[in-house]
Amino acid sequence: MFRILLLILLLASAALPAGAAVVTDALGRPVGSERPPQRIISLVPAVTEILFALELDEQLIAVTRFCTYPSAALAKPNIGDYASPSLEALAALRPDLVIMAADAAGPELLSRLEMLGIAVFVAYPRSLTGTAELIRTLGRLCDRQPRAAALAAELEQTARCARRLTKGHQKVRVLATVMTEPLVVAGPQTLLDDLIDIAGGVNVVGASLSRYPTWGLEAVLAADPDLILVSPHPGQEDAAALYRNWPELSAVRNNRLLSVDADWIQRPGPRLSLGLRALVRGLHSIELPQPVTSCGG
Amino acid sequence: MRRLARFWPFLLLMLLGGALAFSLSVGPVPLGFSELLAILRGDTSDPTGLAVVYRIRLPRSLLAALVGAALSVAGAAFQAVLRNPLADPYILGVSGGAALGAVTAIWLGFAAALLLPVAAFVGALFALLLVYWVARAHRGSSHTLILCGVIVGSLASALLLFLLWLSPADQTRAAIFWLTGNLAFADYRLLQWIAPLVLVAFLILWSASRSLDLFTQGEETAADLGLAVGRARLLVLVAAGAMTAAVVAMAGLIGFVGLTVPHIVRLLLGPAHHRLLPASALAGATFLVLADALSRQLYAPAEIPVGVVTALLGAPFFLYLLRAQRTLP
Repeated sequence: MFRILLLILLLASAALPAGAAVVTDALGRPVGSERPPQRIISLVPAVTEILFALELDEQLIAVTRFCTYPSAALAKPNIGDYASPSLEALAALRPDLVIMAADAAGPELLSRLEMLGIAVFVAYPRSLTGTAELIRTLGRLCDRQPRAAALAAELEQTARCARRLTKGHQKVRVLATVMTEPLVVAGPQTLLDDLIDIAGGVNVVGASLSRYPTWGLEAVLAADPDLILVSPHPGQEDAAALYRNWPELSAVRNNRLLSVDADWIQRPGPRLSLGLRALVRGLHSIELPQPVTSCGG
Repeated sequence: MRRLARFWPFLLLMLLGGALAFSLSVGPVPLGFSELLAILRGDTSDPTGLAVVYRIRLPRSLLAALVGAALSVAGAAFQAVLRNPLADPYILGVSGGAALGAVTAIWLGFAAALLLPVAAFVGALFALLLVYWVARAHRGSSHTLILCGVIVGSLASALLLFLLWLSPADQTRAAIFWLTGNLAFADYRLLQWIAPLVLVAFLILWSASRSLDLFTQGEETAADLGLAVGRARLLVLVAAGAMTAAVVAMAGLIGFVGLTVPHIVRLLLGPAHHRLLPASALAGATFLVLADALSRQLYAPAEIPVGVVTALLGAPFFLYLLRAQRTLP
């Protein structure tokens, strides 16, 4: 019986046309089709960046209004918000694949899209490794494996290089500010936490009920981090200005408020390597070699 | 009960003092009681301790006390003048107006810290006056006032949602945070503006205690007993409304305090307003100071929204009192 099943499976897989792939998304759902998707809608800014880096700009037919990079993304039709896109506009574009984020959009959106008969891939990367994995998976799904492997490898090499060069240095105690009103900081199980660790730092936000807890300034004073990461989002109050009111903080006295482009460190995409370079520079005054393959060892 | 009726001012003042002491002593920075005393006496050179007590905990505790007192007094006044036990300080569109004012300011790009409260205050007063102006056509009966309040509130929240939909995500988040109520941005500059306003409004309401007592008997009875109903009502509405607007402007919308504290005090001390109003002020201040301290302490260093704590603390206590007393005030 088992052999017959195996035989059927083998025959079935042989019958699939070239380029077809079935992958598993972040929710463990199988996603795939007979041929690589030709009409993709990305509801995730980071995924939009990945798809452009995989040279899938022709297949990418629409993005959200938050997909601001690369500049070619701004020219794509936009179907609104990532959490509540216009379903009508989305369906009218007849996509054969929609990519959404597990944390930005709810299960309602997923079930609505499934009801419309649209294939959905759910992404949920929370680490650099997870991002590399996502890039590889999207590469398999969209028939861009070599390009994806190279992109993912570059991210992983940058991480290895960062770990190697900061090894033996005193760990820097870091607080990563996400926004100031309210004061939201990055806790464990977040991309920022992972990047801080890779760059030779320790996140001062310990175990917490929420991945992004709200802190008061007193909590910052109590933790007294060596370095505070301030990454201004356009249109938001500058976190550096808030902290400068508190010279009691060592990071303020020692002028260690580090500003890194928020999109480099908060978007799980190819530009994480830029973010990581900036973090290693800010935390340890170490410059990662360019290209990163020349890191040695 | 009799004894309570005589000693309540001392009892409530002691409770408030205890709550303030508790609030000053809890937080993520560990400060022992002796350290706290040293800081308060001024014989310490620990800059972090000084900053924590004087720039974080004290302004925040004072703001919580002021907001709790104002919301409770305004709630008591609204419940009396509208003869409705479900009335809270936000019932006449004040909350919607304040929120709309603040979000309009955010939307127009006026992010200056001091401008937001001013915009919220103006919005709240505007909503209140609109309600009063429409309701006056029907001699301002309490039903008309409440109905107008609900309608103006709905209109304001529709406009608010529209503005939020128009604004970028980051600004929206800031606005929503503000709307859920917070005491984190306590600031002495604002306190010194708002405290006198709240005090004056309180004194006006307290001096109108007799009118408030009469209102609870019904407007016709009150008129028969010689009260100039229209004028007294306008005075109470403006004083309680301005008081609410002022604290909403500072701390956003903090629920539950203004609805339940007056009921709790009424259950314990009776309905006479010359006692109900000051007792509500002290009890409301104590209650919000405690709720804020707990919201900072329960999951420290993370903070939980103070509105969650006020409801979780207040609702069971209120239900218990209702059950124990068996009669609605």
